[in-house]
Amino acid sequence: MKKILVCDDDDGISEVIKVILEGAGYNVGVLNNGRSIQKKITQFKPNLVLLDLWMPGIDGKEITKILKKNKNFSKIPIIVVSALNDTRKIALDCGADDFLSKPFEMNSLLFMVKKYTS
Amino acid sequence: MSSSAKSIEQLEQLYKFSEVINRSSALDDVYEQALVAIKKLLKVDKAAILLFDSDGVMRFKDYLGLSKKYRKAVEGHSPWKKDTKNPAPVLVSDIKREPTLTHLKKTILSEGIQSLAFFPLLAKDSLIGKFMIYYNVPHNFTPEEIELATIMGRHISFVINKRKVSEEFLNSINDGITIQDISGGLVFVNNTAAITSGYKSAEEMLKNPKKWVNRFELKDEQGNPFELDDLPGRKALRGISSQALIQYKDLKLGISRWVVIKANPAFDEEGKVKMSINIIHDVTERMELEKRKDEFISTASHELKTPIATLKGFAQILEMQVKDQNSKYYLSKINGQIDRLSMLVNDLLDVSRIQSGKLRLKKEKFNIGQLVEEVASDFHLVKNSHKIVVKNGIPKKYIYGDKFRIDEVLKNLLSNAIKFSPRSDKIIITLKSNPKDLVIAVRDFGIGITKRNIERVFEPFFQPSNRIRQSFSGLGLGLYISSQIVEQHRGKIWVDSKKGKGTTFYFSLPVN
Repeated sequence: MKKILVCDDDDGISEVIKVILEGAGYNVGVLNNGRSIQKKITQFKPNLVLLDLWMPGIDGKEITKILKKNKNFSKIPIIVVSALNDTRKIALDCGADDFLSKPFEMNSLLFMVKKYTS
Repeated sequence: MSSSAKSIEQLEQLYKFSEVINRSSALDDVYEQALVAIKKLLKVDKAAILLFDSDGVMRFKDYLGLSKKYRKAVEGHSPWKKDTKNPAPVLVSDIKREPTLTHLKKTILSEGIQSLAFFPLLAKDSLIGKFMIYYNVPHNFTPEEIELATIMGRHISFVINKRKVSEEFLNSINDGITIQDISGGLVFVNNTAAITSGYKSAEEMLKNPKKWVNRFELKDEQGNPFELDDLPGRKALRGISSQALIQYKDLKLGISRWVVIKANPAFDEEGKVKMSINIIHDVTERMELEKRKDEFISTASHELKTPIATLKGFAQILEMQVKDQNSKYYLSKINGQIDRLSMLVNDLLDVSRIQSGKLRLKKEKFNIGQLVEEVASDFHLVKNSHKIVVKNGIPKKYIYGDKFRIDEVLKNLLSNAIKFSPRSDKIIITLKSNPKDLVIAVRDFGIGITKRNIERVFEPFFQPSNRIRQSFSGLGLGLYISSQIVEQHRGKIWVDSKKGKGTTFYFSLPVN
């Protein structure tokens, strides 16, 4: 069973993503802040990380850069999720593998998750 | 030499002196030239010009042949005060015999001076300072000498006053004004320029006319360091008039401000650049307002879209899970409205951005053919109502543009095509590659646009009045936003339509 880690400070978003993905057969872990993400990834060992860019205090772009620089985590695909459309290029420049804009279509989310976990 | 010949020679010298000091650009030059002429015409051994400072103390502005020790000792000891009326020249033919100079006599004599005189410098009727002449031997002052000195005093006063009036004017202006000489050093700064540069006064700033550069860190609008040679002042010294928006950080005080600097060269009689004249206009408040607006738009975007995303997610889950037909129907309605809400928020935020000039494109090289294919298949994934065909295949064509924004344009045109062709089930997209641009066409077979409306479709808030619009109304911003995006890419957007037959929207993008 593939494991997905969702990192978003908004409970509504993380919950709805969890329900959608669990319904499609994934094992979903949820984290509501970026500070403990490295610890969580080490514990949970996800196949994919869905990361919100705009979280108070921690910059999602910085987290992406840090994870991709770290040997232990660089192989894990990161999909950046954001309400701000024009951050797409910036996110990809930081090393993210793809970008999903909020609000998203359920099918778009499922399609993307399948793509990066197969 | 006969006395009349001597007079003529003196007159000539006087005229030359007058001409020279009038032409001098800086007050320091005026003083220097004046002293040289005084020495020549009056044949003195030493000379000085003193003016009252802001505290009413007479200070040396320039001098010839006087030691620092002497100047320090005598400065401030003038019998004349600022309010002294009609002061007559003071003449001391022989210091040794002068009864009045008690405490300063020793100092004066040890400087080698045996005779001195001072003459007033006046502005209208008030005293602004004096000029002094010194002789190393006792000297009898002749009436001609006194008259000559008086005339020279008037000339010097005139030029100083003229300069002071223009300086006062320049100091009253809210913008900073600076003048640089050909080496880039400052020769004039007004009070505003000095104070906004962190100095207490213009005099303080001019003490180190070249050091001011080191005090600041300069950046352009994008945050890149500003090259010194690109500064308008430096460009003006190369003969080019220009202006630039600059952010400067005062490294000493730690504050950052934004200015627009406008600089023009000043030429000498031979047409060579002599100086640069710079006007510095503070625009910090305007820039901060822009920054706050930008931040507001970003925050609003995030805050509005997050709950919409959650609503959409759960509504879609429910729609998928419920078995009861009625519930399924209601949920599909809910989903439709959520999408509509999402589009409205997007449109509002886009328009907000466009109107505050913040629709900045993030350009990259991308495959437009692939983007068209992706958008078309996304639509299939989500709305199964129409078949979207990309005619003549998908060319592999790379263009330089904002991928997300072009995606937005395609989505807008496709959703309009679907919206306005409820009875048709086909939409055709074509891509045509020309030498200078790429033209994309989106064709539907729907209700078309009337001749009257066709001129107005790209207007913001324009909506055609018909049945269809009423059931799918948005804010009427989609085409306006699309046209702005296309135009910002230096492309064109246009439409061809026949009522009842269908509509084709075209847009072109440059390909270099």
